[in-house]
Amino acid sequence: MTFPEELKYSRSDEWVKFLDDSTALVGITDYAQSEMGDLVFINLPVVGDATEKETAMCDIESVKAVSDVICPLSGEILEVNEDLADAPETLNADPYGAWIAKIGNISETEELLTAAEYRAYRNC
Amino acid sequence: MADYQLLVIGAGPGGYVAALHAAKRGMKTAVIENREVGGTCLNRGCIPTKTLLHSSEIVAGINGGEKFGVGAQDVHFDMSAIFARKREVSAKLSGGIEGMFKAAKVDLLRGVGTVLGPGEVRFSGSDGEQTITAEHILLATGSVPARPPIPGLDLPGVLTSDELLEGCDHLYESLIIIGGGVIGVEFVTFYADLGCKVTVIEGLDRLLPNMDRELGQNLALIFKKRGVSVYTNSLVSNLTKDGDTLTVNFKNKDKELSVSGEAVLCAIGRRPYTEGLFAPGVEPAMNGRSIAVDENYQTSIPGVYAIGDVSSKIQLAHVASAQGRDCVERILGGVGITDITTVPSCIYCVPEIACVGLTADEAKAAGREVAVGKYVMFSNGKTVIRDGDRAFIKLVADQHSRVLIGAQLMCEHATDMISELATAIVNGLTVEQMLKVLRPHPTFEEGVQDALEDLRAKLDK
Repeated sequence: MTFPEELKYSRSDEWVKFLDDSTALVGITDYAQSEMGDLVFINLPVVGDATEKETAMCDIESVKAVSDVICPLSGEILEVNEDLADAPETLNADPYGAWIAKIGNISETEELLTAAEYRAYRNC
Repeated sequence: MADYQLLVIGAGPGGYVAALHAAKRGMKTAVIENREVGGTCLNRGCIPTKTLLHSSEIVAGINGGEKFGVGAQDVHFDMSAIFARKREVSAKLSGGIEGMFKAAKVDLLRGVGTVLGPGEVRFSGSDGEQTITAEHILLATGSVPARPPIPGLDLPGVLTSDELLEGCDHLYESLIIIGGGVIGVEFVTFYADLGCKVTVIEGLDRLLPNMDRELGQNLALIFKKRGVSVYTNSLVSNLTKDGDTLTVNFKNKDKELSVSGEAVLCAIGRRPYTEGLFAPGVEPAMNGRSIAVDENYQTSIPGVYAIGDVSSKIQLAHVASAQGRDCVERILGGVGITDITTVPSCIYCVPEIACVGLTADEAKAAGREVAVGKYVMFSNGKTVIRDGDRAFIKLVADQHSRVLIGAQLMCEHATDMISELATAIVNGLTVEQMLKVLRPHPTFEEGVQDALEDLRAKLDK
């Protein structure tokens, strides 16, 4: 399992890539995708929606279960990765390339972990 | 004394149900109809499309039979026979209504009715014209497919659902459907299952744009898996024809795209049908293209009422029928028993879609605090047995009262299951009251139980 150094991680298994101080991409970690198994559907968020830290912004589905994707940032959805709607399996194949949403106007961020801290937290 | 107590114009699901109900309540009633009894629903809408879809479902079932251990060779189908069967089903049901008219002593007058003023209708039939008087006049003339003024939409080979259903017992190699609403997606299902190369073009951001987002998103995913090309956010600019090939040019976000095919179906909605319905000078107040009515279905002309697609915001056969019964009761000084503010709507794609009440987004937009329970049918026994596509049941409840306020289903038999949820919504049942019911195993209905359990957990969070 890989956890790129340049990313930040949430305890609910999302990664955050800051593009600048108030803009970031959010996706799910390699650990999350491997725990969930083959992903078959994503309910994408809507551009323009407000996000609130530690609150679900969308959900993803494997053949086993539906899981909420928790947004680690309070802000606004600027863009969503529409390609995932047709190819949710990309979240399994390339979890760090398959960003889910670009969040802007970030006002608050939950306490995020570094790659090493996240690896220790998930014990992998 | 007037010729009739109630004179209905239009024998579709609004008009014929109103007429039969009025007769049952002792009113001397007649219905004017210039086409087949049963209206759009029986002849050019609900029933014929579902008959066609039954045939395509059999074809898809046979073609997909190998995984169930059932193989078939030389599978063929005959479009002429499929369409002949469609005509047979419509004729049978239409004949049934004529029989009911006779039994209930409702006069069926074949021809055209024109409102001359309060209590008076000019009837033009095969024996010429006459004026018929009635204490109450009920307009139920329905709707016809809309054709927006897009250049090229009048080219030969560009059809509406009427023309496709009435004339085209030919299997197109390729078909382009403009409009990803209810009508469009049912025709996608029919033609795609028969092996036709189908493209669907929708102007808004998803298929079924008036429904819960996940429905359109899921359907697009399923369509694409079946080889259907889906374009959303796509506005058609014009159509051209070169030889036998039709080309639809459209703008997809910022890109100019085009797609070519043998035929084009224009399925962008229906407009109220009022042609020739009013004599010059007696036109009632309108609401856009619809006849304006008050809560008693009364138009601005005294004693003249309107129900169904010609006046209703929601164009559904069962809404027209319910309004018909309600209108008759209101004419008699009472009120109908059916709560017509809670309207189930069904789409016969695969898997089926059925909705009632509010979506979570609608409820939130109305300022309500809600909880949403969802069950994806991956581990539902019946769904696994049938090896169906991704299916789900979504239920919405009010966070404070715990009363069910909405349901969105996309699963096999959704259209047969929605009434349980409509019953709950109309009667204000809470999630706990619904969970008192023991649902049998194995059924698709078990999914409702699972969605309710999830909803209960969400309410408790």
